[in-house]
Parts: sequence; structure tokens; C-alpha cells
Amino acid sequence: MSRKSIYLAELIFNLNRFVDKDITSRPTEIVQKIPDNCHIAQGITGDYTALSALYAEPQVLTDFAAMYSKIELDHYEEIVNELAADFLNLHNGLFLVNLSEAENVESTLTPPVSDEKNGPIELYSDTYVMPVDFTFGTVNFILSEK
Amino acid sequence: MDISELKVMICDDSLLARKNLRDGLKGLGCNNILEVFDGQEAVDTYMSEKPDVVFLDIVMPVKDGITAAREICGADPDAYIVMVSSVGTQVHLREAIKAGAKDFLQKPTTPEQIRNALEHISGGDE
Repeated sequence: MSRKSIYLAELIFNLNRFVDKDITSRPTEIVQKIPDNCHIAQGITGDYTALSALYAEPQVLTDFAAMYSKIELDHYEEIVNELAADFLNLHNGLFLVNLSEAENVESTLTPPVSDEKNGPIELYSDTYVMPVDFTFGTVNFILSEK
Repeated sequence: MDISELKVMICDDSLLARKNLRDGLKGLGCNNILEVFDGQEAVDTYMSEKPDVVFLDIVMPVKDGITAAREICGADPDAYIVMVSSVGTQVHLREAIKAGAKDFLQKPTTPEQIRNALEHISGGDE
């Protein structure tokens, strides 16, 4: 099983565990670029190096952040981005713990970024998007491997 | 010392992690809580406030938690630091202990984990 496949399988597991059980993952696509409004990201560095990110329509992202955090959020605001980035950080951390234990692969994380004012996210050569359908809309998860 | 008497500092750039820890601590009767957002603030606030226990994240902007733990323990070998991170790999565990941390909690933290960590310092587990 490739690390990308492990990452995406654990993503579904963690979405079920921390956000919602009622989700459907669509097939992963290889892409050359991602939308300019994708500004929530976190780097993975070390034996395994990659960039992770996610994007969705503002109201979908708001609902996603609310379900994850159990905080009431009526409309899109900066805290939504921070909470979505928090999920990314949690998932990435748990993925690296499993990678360390199962394969002795040691990597760490860079602080997540979630500010819309940040410039476009720099991708590596192999970039995958996995859309995940929730009852309230679709969140797109990115993994770009070095 | 009773858990409710402890002065606790939480250092995490994640507002959700701070909220979860704060709620857990308040649930244990602990209300003397300081909150900071990066490793440098943790070092500065530790020196001025001398909390009894510090919950310290690892991956943070400005200064990471391992570096902050090393600086705090360098200045005060009796500092009681509990690392709290989503990245609980063997390498991070080793680095945290080498830096002087006394305990390590894997995120997401549970109220039981927080209680156990505090009981170690308050002497409740003896």
C-alpha cells in the first residue's frame, strides 16, 4: 500500500471518527493545480515529505468546522479556517504516528496555515485531490507528494 | 497540592486545542489558567508567572514546543511540562523527554488524560 493510499484511508477513518460517519469519498484525481481559494494547508517534512491542504465552498467549510469542533458557527468567518486547519493538523499528526510505528518513517509537521491573505500554495510534482461528500456539501482534500 | 490550587499554563496555537484543555481543566476544578499561543510566549510567560504545570504543544509558529521546553527547563529544572501534540512519534517523545518534559499526551486529549497528568504533579496518584 502506498503512503498516499495510507494517508487517504486514514483520512476517511479520522473524518468518521472526528467529524461525521455519514460521508462518501469519491475517486482520487491527479491534478496539476488547485483553486486559488485553497488557503488551508500544512507541510509534512522528513523521511516522508508532502503538502496537505483542503478547500470547500465557504458555507460547506463552515458546516465542516462546526461539526468537527462542536462549536456553533452560523456563517463563514476567520475561525472557520482555523478550525478546518486544526482538523488537518490532527489528521496529519495521527498519520505520522502510524507511519512512525508501522514503517519507522519519521517526519514532522510545519504549523498549519489558514490565512486567506497567504499567497498560492506551492505544490510538489504528484498532487492528488480526494473529494469527500458530506450531507452539507463537498470538501476537497489535497495531498501533494515530493 | 489539590488540583484546584494549581496554576496551569496552556500553550497552543490551536484555539480548539486550548478550548478543549481549558474545558477539561475547569471540569477538574482548576480555574487558575493562563493561555498563550506560541513557544516564545510560553517561555516569557513561564518566567514571569511560574505556573505549576505547563501543557505545551509541539508544532507552533515562532518557536516550537520542544525548543520552548528546553529553554524553560534550562532556566527552571523543576518546571513541570506536559507535551500535548497530535504528532506523538517516538522521535518527538524522545526529544520532549530530552528537553525536560515530564509527560506526553497524544491529541485529541481526553478529560482522563488531563486528570492523570495533573494527579502526577499534585501527588494524587501516590
